[in-house]
Amino acid sequence: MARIALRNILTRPATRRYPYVKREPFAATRARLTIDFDSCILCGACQKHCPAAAIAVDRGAGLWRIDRLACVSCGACVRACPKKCLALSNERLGAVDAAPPGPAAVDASGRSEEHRRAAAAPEGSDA
Amino acid sequence: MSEHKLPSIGPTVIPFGPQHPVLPEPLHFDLVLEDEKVLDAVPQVGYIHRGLELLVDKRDYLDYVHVAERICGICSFMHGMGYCEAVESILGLAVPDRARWLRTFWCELERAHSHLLWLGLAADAFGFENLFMAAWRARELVIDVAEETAGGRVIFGSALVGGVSRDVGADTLARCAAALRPARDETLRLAEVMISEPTVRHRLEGVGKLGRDRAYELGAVGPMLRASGVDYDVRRRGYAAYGEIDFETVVEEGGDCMARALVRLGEIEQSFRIIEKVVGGIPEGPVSVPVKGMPPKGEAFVRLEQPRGEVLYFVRSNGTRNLERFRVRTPTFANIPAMVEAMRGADLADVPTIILTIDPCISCTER
Amino acid sequence: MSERETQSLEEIGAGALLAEVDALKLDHWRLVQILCISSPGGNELDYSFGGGYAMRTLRLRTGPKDPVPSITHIYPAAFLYENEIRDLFGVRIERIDPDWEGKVYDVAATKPFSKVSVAATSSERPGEAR
Repeated sequence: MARIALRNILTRPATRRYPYVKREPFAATRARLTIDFDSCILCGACQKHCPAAAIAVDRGAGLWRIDRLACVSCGACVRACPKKCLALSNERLGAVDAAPPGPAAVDASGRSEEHRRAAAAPEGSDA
Repeated sequence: MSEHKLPSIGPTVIPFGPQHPVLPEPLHFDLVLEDEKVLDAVPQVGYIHRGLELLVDKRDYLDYVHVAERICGICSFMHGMGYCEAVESILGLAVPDRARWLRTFWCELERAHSHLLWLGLAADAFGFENLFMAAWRARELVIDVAEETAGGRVIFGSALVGGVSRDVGADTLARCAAALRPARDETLRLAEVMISEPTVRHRLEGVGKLGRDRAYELGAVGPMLRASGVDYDVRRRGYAAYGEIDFETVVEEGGDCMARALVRLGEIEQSFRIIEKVVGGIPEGPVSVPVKGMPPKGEAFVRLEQPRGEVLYFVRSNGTRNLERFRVRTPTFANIPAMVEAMRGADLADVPTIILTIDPCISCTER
Repeated sequence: MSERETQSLEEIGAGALLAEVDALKLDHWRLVQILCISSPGGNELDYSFGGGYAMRTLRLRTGPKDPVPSITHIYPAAFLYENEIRDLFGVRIERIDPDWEGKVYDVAATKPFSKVSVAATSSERPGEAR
């Protein structure tokens, strides 16, 4: 009994000491869809191929929107995009935690993320 | 001296499920009991029906593979692969060799992680929680390999019509094979515990006995059938790369829960061996062929060996982008009558063990 | 041996179903699955049986209201398939044992998978196409 107790005190725990030690994601992990919106031509192929209907593209308004909680990270849109501007990164950010850097708009719940292209009219428009 | 006799009230019917601590997925039984013995069990499914077969009307036949993969978490890759094989059969498409071998790699990875999951749940069903945790800890090594090679821990996402969606380099494959060896050693250690511990043997031996003829008649498949002495393993048909790899099918004669446990434990070891052979013998080449355009009219039946048994896929195309019909007959669907038969005559306390012994995957059953 | 080579398919009439299934049972074939395909004109039932690694499928075409005899007295394991087909597709399978009386899946619509049109001639398939 004492031997077991001593062994338990002296050996390290079997589990990772999260949150001080985080698990590094693998390079191939499919987690979060990212878009290089400058290359996007708003063709809507991603919307057509999404099995979860998570992407909405509005060509007239210059809008690309994703519902983060509907996306299942399958990669169908990544394969379908003719301009290869979509990619699945391996970072698992919480939908509500971190807004991505840049001009994308994220709504209050963090669920919907929009990228909007400014109209080509001379006076410009607000995003 | 007169005895007071209670009036006979006949058998008692008690409900089991759909919420129950041992059930991984919702399933309901009305157990007809006489004292502690189960006379009959009336199953009821339908708690997680999603109507996924109807979604073929709304999804392009190439995108549907992502829906097929998500019919179930534990059998996910083989659902995707079975769908792809059926569509490829209609298209008359030959998948490149490297893709066939990679599919075999992921199939066996899935079999190993599914059986380790089963091992944990079955131990939990009769109260051995430590074995549950140890088995799932070994399983973590297996699904880490899946995440490194395919991108997903449970939903691999690598089945694609025409091949597989990503290639895995030779050094990654070798590293993964090395990473699986501790999992294999741990599984052998846990198997030793299952087989030799007196309390475990007391819970499993003689429970839920199903004879060879009865199991075959009731349409049992997979480990349920192989534990009753019938050597039927759909991998012998030689789909993917199984025709080129030497492997053994594990068959036991006991027909009880212990025999089924032995079959599954033996299959985990076989899976690790097959993975080593795949890593050693995989050919070079492309991993997919491009698929474009409409599928021709046609239909196909494809059968695979999922961890739970024989699964059948039927696909019919009418020449448009949406398939006309997609049907999955999953192994748990075929095993439910055998499970009900095994329950008759068992003790009430053995009911969870018997349910877990078919490795029920109700999401597959109900789609 | 490829999958296709081990399979065979034959069309039969509803009257021949029980005799064929009986013959297969006596020959020790096991029931693999029963499948229903619905189209505007009627339903099609495929009964697949396995013997060794071979598979034989019997195909039965029925009109929307035609009765189909149950095979549960020959293959008791068929009850799950037949109950599901009756509930989801509305095929009139008679004398299923045990009969779950429409309670297989708790769905809001009756016959949700049925594509049989009400009109005698073919019509648009229900549900939107993408």
